[in-house]
Amino acid sequence: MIKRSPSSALWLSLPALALLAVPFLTLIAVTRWRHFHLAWGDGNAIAISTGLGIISLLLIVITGLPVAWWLSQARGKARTAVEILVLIPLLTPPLAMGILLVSAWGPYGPAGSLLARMGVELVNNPAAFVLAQWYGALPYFITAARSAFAAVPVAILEAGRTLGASPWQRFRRLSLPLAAPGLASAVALAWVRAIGEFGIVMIFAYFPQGIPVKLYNNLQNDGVDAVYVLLWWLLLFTLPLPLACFAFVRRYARERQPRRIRSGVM
Amino acid sequence: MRKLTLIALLSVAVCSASAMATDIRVTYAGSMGKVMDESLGPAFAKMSNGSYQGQGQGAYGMARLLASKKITADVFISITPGPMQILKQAGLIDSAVPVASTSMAIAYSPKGPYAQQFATAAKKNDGSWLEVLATPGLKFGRTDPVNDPKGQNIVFSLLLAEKYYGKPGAADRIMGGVQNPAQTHLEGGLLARLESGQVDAAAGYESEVISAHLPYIALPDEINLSNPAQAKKWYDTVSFTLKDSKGEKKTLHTQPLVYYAAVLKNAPHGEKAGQAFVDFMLSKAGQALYQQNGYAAPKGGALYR
Repeated sequence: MIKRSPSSALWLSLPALALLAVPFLTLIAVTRWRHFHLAWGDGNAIAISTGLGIISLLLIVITGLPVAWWLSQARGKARTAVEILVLIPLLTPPLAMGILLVSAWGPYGPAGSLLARMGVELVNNPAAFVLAQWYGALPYFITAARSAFAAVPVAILEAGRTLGASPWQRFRRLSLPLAAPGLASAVALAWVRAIGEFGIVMIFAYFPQGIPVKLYNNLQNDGVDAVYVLLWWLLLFTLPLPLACFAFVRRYARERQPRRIRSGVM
Repeated sequence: MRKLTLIALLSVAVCSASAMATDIRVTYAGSMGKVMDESLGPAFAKMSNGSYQGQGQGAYGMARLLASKKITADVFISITPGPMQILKQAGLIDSAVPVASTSMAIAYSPKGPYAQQFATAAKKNDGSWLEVLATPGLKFGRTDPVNDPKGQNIVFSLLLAEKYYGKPGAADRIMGGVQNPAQTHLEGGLLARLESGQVDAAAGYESEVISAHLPYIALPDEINLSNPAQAKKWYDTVSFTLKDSKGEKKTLHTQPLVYYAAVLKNAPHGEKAGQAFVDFMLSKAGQALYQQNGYAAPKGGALYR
């Protein structure tokens, strides 16, 4: 067996890790722990960010998975076109994306006026907030999930097809379980992206006020100390989901490993 | 050898140029972006042969970032005395001088379905614009009174207008609550909505409305909050309450729409440089640039003097 020591990689990681830690070590130092209390409305912001964030995440997974899978299987011009369609919102800075959403989904916009005829308005309401998070996080989810699907060995899918499995069966029985660890990471990425979304939200859905907008308001009204407190709560409430995703990936890897080693021995 | 001489000559040239030049970093109330970054800043940089850096944001947030020394600047310009008070309390300024003023106005979308009605109302002086604004289904936009002086000022203006024109209840019919989510946005969001025609009308300062080339309804002094002489006997007759960060009610009163400038004691380019910029703003050339951008002359006296 080859003995692998992680130490050299860890040494090389130190510059990056130290840089990442600097702002948060500072946060620990500058937080006024004795005056640690939420500003009025902070609790509400936490509930909105996590509650509506979960709804956005579900919509992102439901609508994003087919796109990601299709992209991983498709070839040719259609694939390039879809790739570009996903890349463009990924490259558009959030602020510009917010302005585009206002222009498109505002009450007099081309898409918004259609909705207005049905009596639906996307101005500063929960639906607008969810839509802002969806636009912010979906391209990231598709990109990460597509890589996860693409990592599934083609030979396995080919074998499935020769044995007569339908596309849906190949997706459900082969791609989905084999890509699960990568998909969990994609979900974690989409979640942090949706929760942290400020640029789109500040332009398109200022209400209901989630944590990023409340951070901005706390700065305006009470100064940086109120920002530090709410940031701690944001981390406390939003870390569990990505941590659970990573734990799932690790458990998944552990469960697979013994089998692989066994087959290697044989 | 020749190379060395060249380097020596160059560095002498650079040093003497930077000794004569005055670099400046200015922070200002967000609504001043156009006049600062496109007119006054470049003009000062050209005159003093230095570089200009401008940063605009909600005036209160900017003041708090400066007061907690998270950012530094040579000069801070606020609208209303409120944000200045934060710097005074932090011991960062001695006094603040008025450099310009503005007034509240109602801008309207030139392509919107109510444009004609607004245009007609703008010509009359009978407050009929209040009725237009209160039309059910009309989309009115304003900034959030919780974090933005302009958002507070439109509430005052509407309260004064219903008194002045004798139309009790008009303010509430228009606003539907002080912080009605359907019409309160962040500054940038409101601007995006106004420019892309997604609101029919929006509350704004006359200066920014003129800068943006939008049609608007000019309001009389009794309503537009621009005249410090009206403050005590008339403006102060209205107030409203908001909840503060502890959830307790606080009562707000009007503050005159005057832009105040102050030199910060921890100015990175020195207080002298900061004072040079303030002097430039008050000079004939500076005032002309303010005027070209739709601002009115400074009103009232200096603060804390």
